[in-house]
Amino acid sequence: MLQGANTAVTAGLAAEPTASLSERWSFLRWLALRTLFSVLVLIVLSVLVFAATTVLPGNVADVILGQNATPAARAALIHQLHLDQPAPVRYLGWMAGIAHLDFGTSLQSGLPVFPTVAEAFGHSLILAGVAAVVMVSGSVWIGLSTGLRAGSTWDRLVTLLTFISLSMPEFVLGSILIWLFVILIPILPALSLVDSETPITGWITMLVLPVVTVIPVTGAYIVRTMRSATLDVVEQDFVEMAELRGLTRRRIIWRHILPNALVPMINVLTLNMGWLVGGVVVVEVLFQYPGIGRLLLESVEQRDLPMVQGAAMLIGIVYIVLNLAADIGIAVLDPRVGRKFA
Amino acid sequence: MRKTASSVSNGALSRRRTLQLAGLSGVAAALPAARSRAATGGGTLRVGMEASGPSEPIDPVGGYSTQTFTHALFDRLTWISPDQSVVPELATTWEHSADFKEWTFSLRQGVQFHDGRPFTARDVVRTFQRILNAKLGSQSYRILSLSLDPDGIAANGDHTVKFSCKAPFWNLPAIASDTHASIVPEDSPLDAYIAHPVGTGPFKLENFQAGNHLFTTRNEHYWRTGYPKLDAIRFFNVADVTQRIAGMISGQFDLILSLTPVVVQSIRNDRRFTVASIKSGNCLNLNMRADRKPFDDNRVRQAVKLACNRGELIKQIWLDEAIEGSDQPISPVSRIWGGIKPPPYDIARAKQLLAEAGYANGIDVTLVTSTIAPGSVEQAEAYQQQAAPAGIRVKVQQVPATGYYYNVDAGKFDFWVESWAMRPDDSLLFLEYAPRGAELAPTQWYPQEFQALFEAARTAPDEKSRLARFTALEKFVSEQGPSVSPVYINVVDAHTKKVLYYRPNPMFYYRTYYQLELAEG
Repeated sequence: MLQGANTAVTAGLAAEPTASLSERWSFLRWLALRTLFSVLVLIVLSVLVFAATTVLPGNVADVILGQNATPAARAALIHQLHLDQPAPVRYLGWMAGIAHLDFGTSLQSGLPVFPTVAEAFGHSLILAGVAAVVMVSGSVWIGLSTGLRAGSTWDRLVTLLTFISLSMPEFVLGSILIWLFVILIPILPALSLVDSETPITGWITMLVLPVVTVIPVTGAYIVRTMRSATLDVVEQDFVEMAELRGLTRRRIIWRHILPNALVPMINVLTLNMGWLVGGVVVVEVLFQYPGIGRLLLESVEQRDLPMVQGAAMLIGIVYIVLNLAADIGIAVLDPRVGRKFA
Repeated sequence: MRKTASSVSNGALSRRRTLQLAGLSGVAAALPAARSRAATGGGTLRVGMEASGPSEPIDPVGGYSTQTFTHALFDRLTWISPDQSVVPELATTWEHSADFKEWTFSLRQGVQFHDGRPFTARDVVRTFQRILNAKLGSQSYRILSLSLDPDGIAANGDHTVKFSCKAPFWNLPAIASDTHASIVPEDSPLDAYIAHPVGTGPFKLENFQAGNHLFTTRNEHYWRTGYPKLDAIRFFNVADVTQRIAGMISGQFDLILSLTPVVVQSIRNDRRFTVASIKSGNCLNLNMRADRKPFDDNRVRQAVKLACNRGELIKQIWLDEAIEGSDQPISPVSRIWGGIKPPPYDIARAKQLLAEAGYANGIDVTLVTSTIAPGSVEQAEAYQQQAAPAGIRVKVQQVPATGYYYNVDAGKFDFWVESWAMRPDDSLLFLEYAPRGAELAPTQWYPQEFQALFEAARTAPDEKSRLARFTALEKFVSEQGPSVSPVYINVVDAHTKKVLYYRPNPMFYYRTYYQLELAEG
């Protein structure tokens, strides 16, 4: 019984060493199809981004010229920006640029879009990365501990808190935290104005409030799922067997309960990363953090279309590449996934 | 050639000269009589300012919010002090011909750009030619191009510039103070923005990230002897006013700019901070589209104006940080204010006018507003209450701030809120009624009489007739125009007690930084 359960866990973690030639061939075929699919998604995304920014009201030339727009200046600028060419031609030119990491130049400043977008994206990755690590480790631990002690005071307290967090949007929680730790007990900065010269201590103090604000909504969901997953595993026969064999409680939790409870969590965690990134956009605005969400919002307000397109495409490309990498990773670890596509 | 004492502030010449000699032209007015706290000298000032977007150019010819730090990086030929006098900056004196068409500016000698190049007349020529290129989108283009062509500016030696205007241009010294006319070197491109600007100002550019921050350090070779006092200034863009306040409370900023009467209430009685406000000509108009019913009848427009209780608005919405407006863009702060009286709150007369115009049962109108400027929603809602007894049934419609002015310019609304900031040349605001290119302004109000009055005022031969003509223009706009200008709103900034010698300016982006100091402790 115990043996069987352990095999089930390891089966998901290591490829069988004796994969036949035909199985390898089918895996490669799956890989090629999966990559092709990602490229198709990317093309669809680029068409959507281009179309959405093209149908926005307002001629770009009017936006640039503002009140100085004379018919002659307008016509000259439209020609210069290639706006007199048909949309498909402009789209192809834009895509050719992206292939060389040239996302175009800002309509307002005339500077290349890519460095600005890339730097903001890097800032967002730092925030999202720190938040993800804190959230996953924290909520998995809390979910496990409440699952193990179901019905205890700790369990009931956590249950209450998770329901409160689930119903509190980031901007409400953020405002409460600012009032608490900036106004009432002034120990944290109100704004996360990081820049290239910010020392590591500055990064830490300025990331506390955004991270603590963005975690609870998604974290609470993971706590709830982890708690029920733990409850399911605890009732399994192999846990009872381990106890009967006289293993220490610590060993049972770490070697038997945690790995088995984590299996159904992988999908949940992946899904919630998407939600986390959405929350990051909100806290970036709330704490003036110089990330891609704030950049996107302000660029839309300024009608700086190349900037909007560049930011949207970069976010999309990273999402698609990460998804592809995750799928390939799982397939390498668990050949059954690959075989299904064969 | 006639020598102007000062085309704008009467008899200020001797005083101005004295100030110049002391090298203190701008500061003197800002120096408080006594200061109890000693400045340490040096230090880094951290400023929380409004947002400039992620792609706003730092080039002074084109920026909007970036105007706020042009006074740190650049100088202009002139500056307008808080009391509205035009004072010398990189120009030392100026003269004009009797018809105001020929202007000669003498330039300050021994000034150098941040990269060590000497400042000469050729830099001035290039600066103005850039403004006159419509493609660069300068806000000064419209007023300047009315009177000046790019080939009308010429260097005469290294330290004299001549402007030959195609029309009388009485206010050139004031226009020359505009942030868009910040002096840039002669090799600046005529048709593209500068990415790494070099100025002559008190601080040098160290690091600029559009929409996030601008870091500057002291210019050791600044022409004002003994200035700047600070070692560095760091400007941070913070979109929301309450965030700027929170940033100062949490110790991240020493000075915060462009606040609102309501949010500063939270720090007004806090001993750590000083609220610095000054009367201005900034207005938050309720604009009407004059070519459609019901606003095509001036009696209706007058009724709409009479149904506004300006005193109540000042008390309720602006918390005494505003003065009553008179439905035209020139406020009592301006040098060309003609003493136009604000219309009274007169419900009976408003009803009577509506009835005469054929609306005995009143009118139903939708007032479109947005969070585009602080107080714009609140003022619209207060007006709704005030106008109701007159039979003016206002429906307030709040739309997203994003793209708001695009929709205004596209003529989507009949009755809407629009924010106008005070300008260096007040006649610029009358241009808001003038056509843009081939199309009329969104108010669709451009009568012959207005055009004649504007042209007459702009080209007046002397100061006395100029004031009289501007007064006639203001009166006409106040009585016939398509705008309710309920109030003129103060510029409100705030700083910690450590900041010394700060003084706001009615034109909010005319603040200067070279004289600022940080106190000990």
